[in-house]
Amino acid sequence: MSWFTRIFRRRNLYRDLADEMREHLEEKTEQFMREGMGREEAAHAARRAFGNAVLIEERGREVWQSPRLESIWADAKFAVRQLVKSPAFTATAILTLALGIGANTGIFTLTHALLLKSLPIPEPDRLVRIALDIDSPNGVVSDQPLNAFLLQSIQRHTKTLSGLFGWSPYDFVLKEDTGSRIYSGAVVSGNTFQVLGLTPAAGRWLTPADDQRGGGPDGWAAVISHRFWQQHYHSDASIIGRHVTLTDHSVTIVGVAPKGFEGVFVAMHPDFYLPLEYEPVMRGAKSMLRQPGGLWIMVWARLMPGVSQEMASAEMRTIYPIAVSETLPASVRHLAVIERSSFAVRPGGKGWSLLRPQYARPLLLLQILVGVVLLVCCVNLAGLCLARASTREHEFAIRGALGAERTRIMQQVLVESLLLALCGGALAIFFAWATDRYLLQFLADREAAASLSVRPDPFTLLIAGGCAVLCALLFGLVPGWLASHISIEPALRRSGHSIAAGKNTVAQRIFLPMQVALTLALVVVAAMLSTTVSHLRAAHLGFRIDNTLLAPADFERLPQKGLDLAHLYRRIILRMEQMPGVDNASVAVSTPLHGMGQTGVFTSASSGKPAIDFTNRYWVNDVGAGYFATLGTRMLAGRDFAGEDSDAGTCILNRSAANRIFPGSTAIGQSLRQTNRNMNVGQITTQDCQVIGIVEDAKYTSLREPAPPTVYLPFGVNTGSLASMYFVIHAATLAEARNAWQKALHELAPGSPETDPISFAVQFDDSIARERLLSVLSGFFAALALLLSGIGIYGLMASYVTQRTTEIGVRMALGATRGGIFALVMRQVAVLLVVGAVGGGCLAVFAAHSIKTFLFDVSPGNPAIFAAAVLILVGTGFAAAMLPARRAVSIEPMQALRSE
Amino acid sequence: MTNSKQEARDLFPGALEMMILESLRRQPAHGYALVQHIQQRSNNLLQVEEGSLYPALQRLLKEKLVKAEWGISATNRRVRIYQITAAGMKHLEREKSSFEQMFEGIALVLNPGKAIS
Repeated sequence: MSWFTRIFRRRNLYRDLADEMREHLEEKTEQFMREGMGREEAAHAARRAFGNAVLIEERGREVWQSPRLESIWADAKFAVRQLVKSPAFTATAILTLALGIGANTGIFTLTHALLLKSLPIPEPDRLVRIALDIDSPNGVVSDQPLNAFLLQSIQRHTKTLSGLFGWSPYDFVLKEDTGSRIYSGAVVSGNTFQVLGLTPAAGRWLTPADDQRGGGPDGWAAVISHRFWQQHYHSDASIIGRHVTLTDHSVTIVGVAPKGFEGVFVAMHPDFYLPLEYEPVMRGAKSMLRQPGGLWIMVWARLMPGVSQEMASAEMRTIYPIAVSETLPASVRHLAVIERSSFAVRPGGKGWSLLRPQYARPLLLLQILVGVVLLVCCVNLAGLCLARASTREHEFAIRGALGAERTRIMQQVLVESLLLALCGGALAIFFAWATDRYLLQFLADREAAASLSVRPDPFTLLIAGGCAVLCALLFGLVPGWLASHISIEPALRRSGHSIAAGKNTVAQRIFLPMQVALTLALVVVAAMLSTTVSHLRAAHLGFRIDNTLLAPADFERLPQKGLDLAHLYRRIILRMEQMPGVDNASVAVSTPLHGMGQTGVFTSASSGKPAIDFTNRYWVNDVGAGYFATLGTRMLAGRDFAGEDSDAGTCILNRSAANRIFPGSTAIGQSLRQTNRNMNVGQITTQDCQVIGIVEDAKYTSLREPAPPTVYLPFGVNTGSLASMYFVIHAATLAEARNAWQKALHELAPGSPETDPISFAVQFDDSIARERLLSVLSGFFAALALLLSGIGIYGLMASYVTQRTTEIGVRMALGATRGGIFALVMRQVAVLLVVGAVGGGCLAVFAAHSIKTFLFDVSPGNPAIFAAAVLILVGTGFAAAMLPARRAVSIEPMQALRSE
Repeated sequence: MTNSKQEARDLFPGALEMMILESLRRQPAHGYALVQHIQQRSNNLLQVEEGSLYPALQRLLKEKLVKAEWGISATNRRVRIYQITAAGMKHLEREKSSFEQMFEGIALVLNPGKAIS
């Protein structure tokens, strides 16, 4: 009989047992009556011979029970009754836990999705990534991609890695009946999927035979994602072999990736996979596949059996100089920056994401913060449970007196805690889900935010459950231990309600300052992080962000090229400026705070000194006429670009660039020399231009960096990125700007794909997304901790006043003033707060120093912030103690004494 | 009364079960009859508290060493009749042989002079 059916058959078993025992007694009674006894006497004798029937029946039943489980079940039922009886306590506890566990689950789920989740492939821990760490004088730039030449070179020499494959994310334009749409995808080596070890959901994978110049046996072969297959072809297997037009060329769908496979880049969801050789077909002259100097392919490989990552890493360091000498021209090879760089082997089983380096540390910080919050929750609940345990002392004493073992009483308290924690944990899953929806809005990469799947799944449940059990142990153990070690006799002798549980109060008094200290540290951290955000917002930018629209152009497929395209840009700008509401419009290659920008090597043409990489490297931006007027950057001297072809050969510097390149002289009218080194062939070219204007300094890639020296070149001279510039439009309202951009585009460049414009204010917010995330969340956590501390202080003081009712009554009868009683209560709070604040202060100093790298313009020892935090905490503490103190003051001496 | 209780407690664990199984091996019986049988067979030396039979029977039922069925006794009374199962037979044999060994060992210790063999 299985354990399960036994429970359901038990009722019958018990009934049988009771029946046969009754029959037995009757038979025995009749036997005695036959021997001559009276009915009464016989029944009595039968019962005596039988023994204690109730106990025997109980024993008989016990045979079918598992005593431990049954007792836990009984405890749980009892706990539910107890908890229902005190709804205020239960609600507080569950809500506290739900917030604490929810915050932890939410952050951890995000951490898991972004940092910890393994790719859905066999043996993910044997997959590695080979990256280039570039050691430039401006610092190490790690995790850079490689190129096809380096990939082949490594392949030739490695003895520790097998199955090298390259992967480069690429957006494709799919021609559909309804028009053209952009889908994300990747160009990959032919062997990629074999190395990953996946089985296609339909059709076949790409093979090395597909990755050939001119295509493979099926022409250009494409693998589509499972999602795309479902949504566009309703999982129809007959689409294998179908031709589609992808970025102007016909490709054959040969296979479907398995469900759930989203590529090796985290937070991207490619729908098309094509061979690397398809890249030159799409990009034509701008293809990078045959350029040895570009860096655009992320390389992955499997470790050979028995090889560790360190061994592979060591081998890659020896292969690096060989690979460089095989692929780069001699003039480039010996540049210091190339000689000092190296390959690195990094774990690849968890995929790779640009978000990872950006968010790893903030997420870690948040994880620590929520951990502290959970600790505060537990400490708070331990305090509440202690207060509860002391009012239930009588109950525990009676149970002890009736023979309950200590472990049994402890078990009961723990079961109660666990019940609370599990209820909190269940509610927490909803909090976590809501938290993550909210958190993802902060990821600057909106597409990535949308594709990071953070849903309540078994993993989330596991985390929430784990947190709940941990909490139950944390806040249940001390009250449980104390409850099971009550000295029974004195507890019973006291009357049921007047309690002075000395031990418990002492424990509570240890917990409370602990809670206060942790809260203070949280408040200080939150204050520093929010000050950081307000400082960043108040930073002098050198441009305005309101009512400015940034619209990316996608003119790749227009017939106009070179100068013609530049003229088209100018016509669109002029057209937009005629539209209602538009003040200024212009174009630029890079927009500020986008996180990316170009650099170039510049020197004064008259100085005659040779250009050195890095020391003479400046930020550079190609902009149109009116760019500075549109962004509100002040012109300090000279003039703006004219917006004509004659702009070629002129340039504008910002103040710090002018001061650095032409120290001690006016820059206007001087000649600036740009030095270019072609990394593919090693050839050096120079280009001179005349400085026509000086503008004020403005931030470029990052808000945190001081405004860098910058060179502005007229757009159209460098044709490299001419097809994908940004329109910058300043109008009375954003809607008008958007309107103007759409209209002008439709009129002057019909057929070019419509892109999503973004307001400058949003780009600004995105650029401080991490800081905002940290500030908002730490603020929320600090507020939560403050609230919990308030509840804790209130609870402690309320029980203090209850315990001292008689004492306060006596004091008042003896002439103590109401003010004196008030001070008596407040003194208690003050002592706790001082102890907590001193401890918390030390903790906060430590915490503030460890978050130094997250701060901007805030010193970790900022006394104002510390003072404000202490003030907030003390204010909260006294406010929480106010209610119990008022109750103490309103005690009627006569009543208090009479109740004794 | 005190005496019988003492006896019952002094039975070693499993002894009552063994006696029940042995009785049932001879013939199926209901609880009351089992008690009578055990007391008679032991010449009333073993004063088993009658009720203590029932937890033991429940244990045997749980281990599937006996099975039970409601029926009508010779005295026209509704009784639950127990029967030994094949597993019960095997168990009884095993228990008896290990009990005999134990008894022999105890006897040797208590009477060191009289070696049995």
